[in-house]
Amino acid sequence: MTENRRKFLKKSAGVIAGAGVVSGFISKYATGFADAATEKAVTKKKIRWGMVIDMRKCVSGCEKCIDACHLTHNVPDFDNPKDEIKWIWKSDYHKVFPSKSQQFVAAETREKPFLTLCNHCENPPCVKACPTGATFKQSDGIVEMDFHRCIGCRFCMAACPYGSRSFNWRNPRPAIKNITPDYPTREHGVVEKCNFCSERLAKGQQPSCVEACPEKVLTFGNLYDKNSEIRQVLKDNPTIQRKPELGTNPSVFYIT
Amino acid sequence: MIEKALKGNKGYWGWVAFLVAVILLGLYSYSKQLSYGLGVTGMGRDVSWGLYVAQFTFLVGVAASAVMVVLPYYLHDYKEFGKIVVIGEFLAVSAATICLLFILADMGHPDRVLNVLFYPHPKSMVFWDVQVMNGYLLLNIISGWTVLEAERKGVSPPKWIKPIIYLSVVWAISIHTVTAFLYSGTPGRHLWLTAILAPRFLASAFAVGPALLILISFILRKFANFDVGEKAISKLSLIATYAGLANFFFIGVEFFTAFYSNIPSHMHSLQYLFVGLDGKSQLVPWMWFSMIAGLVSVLVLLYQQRRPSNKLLIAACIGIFVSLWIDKGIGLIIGGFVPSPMEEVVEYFPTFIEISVTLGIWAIGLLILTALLKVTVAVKQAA
Amino acid sequence: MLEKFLIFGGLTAFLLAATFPFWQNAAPEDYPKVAMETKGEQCVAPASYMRENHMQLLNEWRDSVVRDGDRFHIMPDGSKVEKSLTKTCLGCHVSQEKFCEECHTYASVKPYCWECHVTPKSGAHTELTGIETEKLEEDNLLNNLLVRNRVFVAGNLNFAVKQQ
Repeated sequence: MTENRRKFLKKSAGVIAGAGVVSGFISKYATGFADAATEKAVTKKKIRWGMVIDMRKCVSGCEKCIDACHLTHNVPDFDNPKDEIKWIWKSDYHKVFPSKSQQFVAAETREKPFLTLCNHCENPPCVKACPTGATFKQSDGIVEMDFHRCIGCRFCMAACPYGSRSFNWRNPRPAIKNITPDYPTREHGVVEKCNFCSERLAKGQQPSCVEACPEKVLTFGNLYDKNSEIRQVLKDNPTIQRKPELGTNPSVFYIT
Repeated sequence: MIEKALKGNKGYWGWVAFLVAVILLGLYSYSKQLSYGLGVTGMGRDVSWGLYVAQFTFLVGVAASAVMVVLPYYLHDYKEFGKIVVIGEFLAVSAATICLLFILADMGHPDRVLNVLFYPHPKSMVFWDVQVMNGYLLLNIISGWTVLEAERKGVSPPKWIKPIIYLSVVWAISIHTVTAFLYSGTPGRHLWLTAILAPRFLASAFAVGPALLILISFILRKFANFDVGEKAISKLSLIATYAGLANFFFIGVEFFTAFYSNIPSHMHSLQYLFVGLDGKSQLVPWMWFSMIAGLVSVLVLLYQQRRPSNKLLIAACIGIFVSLWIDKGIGLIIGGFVPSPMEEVVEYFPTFIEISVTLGIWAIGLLILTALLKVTVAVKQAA
Repeated sequence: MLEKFLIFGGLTAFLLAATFPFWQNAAPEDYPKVAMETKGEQCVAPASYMRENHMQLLNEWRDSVVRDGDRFHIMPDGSKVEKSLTKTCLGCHVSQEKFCEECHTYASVKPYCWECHVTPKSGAHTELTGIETEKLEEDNLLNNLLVRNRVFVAGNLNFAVKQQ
């Protein structure tokens, strides 16, 4: 009974929201520039999780962040790039930042493997593309996956401009070396990606990649808290985002 | 009325048996796909859509093109289309049906397909696509069937069918526009991120559909002793000619913008398709063949407007069909994924299982079309 | 006469064959033997409710954890447990095989929980029981993040914020 009632309320809220969409649409685009919109949003919401990746500190070339992430989330390890599942991985500078200047880039930057993961965009194209709401944005800014609801249409993969999403082309279980019982594995036919460790955040822990890094490359925190460590880092250093021209407003920042 | 599809000669039943065999092969392959996952296909992390979505896109065009016979006949009272209009609608029915089947075949979790309706998300173009495709299928079944039924009874069609037919005209434009929006709204895929995609889709659809109808007309003339009329065929070829010209004009416009602006990301996909990128050039011969065959066919069509020749017409229609199938059914979808958002050039090869599922679905469409046309011809010949 | 016999005989045979599944199950002998032993004293809801509605409850838990970030369930005595099939349910009921499967096999239902969720080994999940870890979590919850990130301090400890 209560369940039905809740569903009904949710649906009626949807109808009312629908009416609001038109006016919202106009005001949204009337605002014009991203900054104005962002500042307005800041006052309303309390949390937007974000990350700064300080590539200057990433020198040892270890892959502890990747290992920790993949262990925590039961990410399978397939031997071929076709079936590959990636949550956090390393790639070249020019692949991570194809729209940044590629001429006369310092050799150490050009040759360094850059860490990359889901950007947890403020305006995620994947969420917009998903026909069922299987991928959605939480109010803490995390773009989350609901594996139970995903129909496997892979529209989110076509929509993501960062290649951050992976599809389970086959049963992942046989390809997981050590299964962590606290986190589910996936089955074939659903899409997955980095979730900023929202299950760990709920326990007050840092994301496992952040915790695992011996060089303190990764700073994680609330972008809406002006006094947070991450905001301090953002204030003190010039940072870049991936493909900012697309207006997705990534929550992952890089110091190159 | 459907019982008329159950009477036929040996040739008819041979054709049906052949289609059923292909369908069974497709079903067998699909069962493999269901148990193992979509990993049995050539799709992968970088090229995450392939043959299935490509067929879907192409066939939405075929479905939408029914409007090219419905509109002249019902709105402009072009009587010469009297015999072909129902054929056009039934072609739309079979194309729309297999469009939906291709989507189903492409899904990782087909058992959850109703989630699209249980948790509707109108911001997603897929939501709208599901609505318009199903709606269009229904509109065409109703209008085609009702009009044919009336013809069988020798009465004029009921009045309520008119608004439905008019609605199907607008609806036809909407299905291909929404299908184009599936692609042209994605921020990271430059081949798709273009305002001309919807017009280009419509133009190519209106070339392929009439070309296919012409071919069907000749097949019916040869095998079913049924003639849709010379005038209808020549009008259809005129439509296909100019729609084809518009399509190639739009493609040219695409090239200009990409290469004159010289913006690398805008050029990459076109480079991959037409000259190759990073040493990978698997689709280059296909794309050039598509362009040349398409242009030559359109010119032949134009030429035979003055000097009608059935042989040339048939060759040109096949040319247009193959050309635009490659262009839209392969180049456009695969090209959208190459290079990947991380500038990787990964090539895609469909697997045997994928190809046989695809053929199976096409066979389902042909079976539906065969049955519907059998009924149509039987009714029209009796009348 | 022979025809009559054939017709009625055939009809009877057909009826018997068609209703065979009902006959077969009219007096089943092997009811499922569900293991009812538990570690804890209380269930998340009355047993009668759970017997009929555990699937709805699990669906509701699933949605509220995954989609709303609402991770805790209030027990009848007011204490809190994690909304978790693997940790809370099977941390208390000792065996997935004898508690879940036994009945599911009998009723021929195949929920897909274990396609992804890791089946706890029988009785091996004591250290994971929601009841025991819950307190620890909430204390750790803010301390850990407050230090580094100065997360909003509010009376509300419901950290996992609601979905928009």
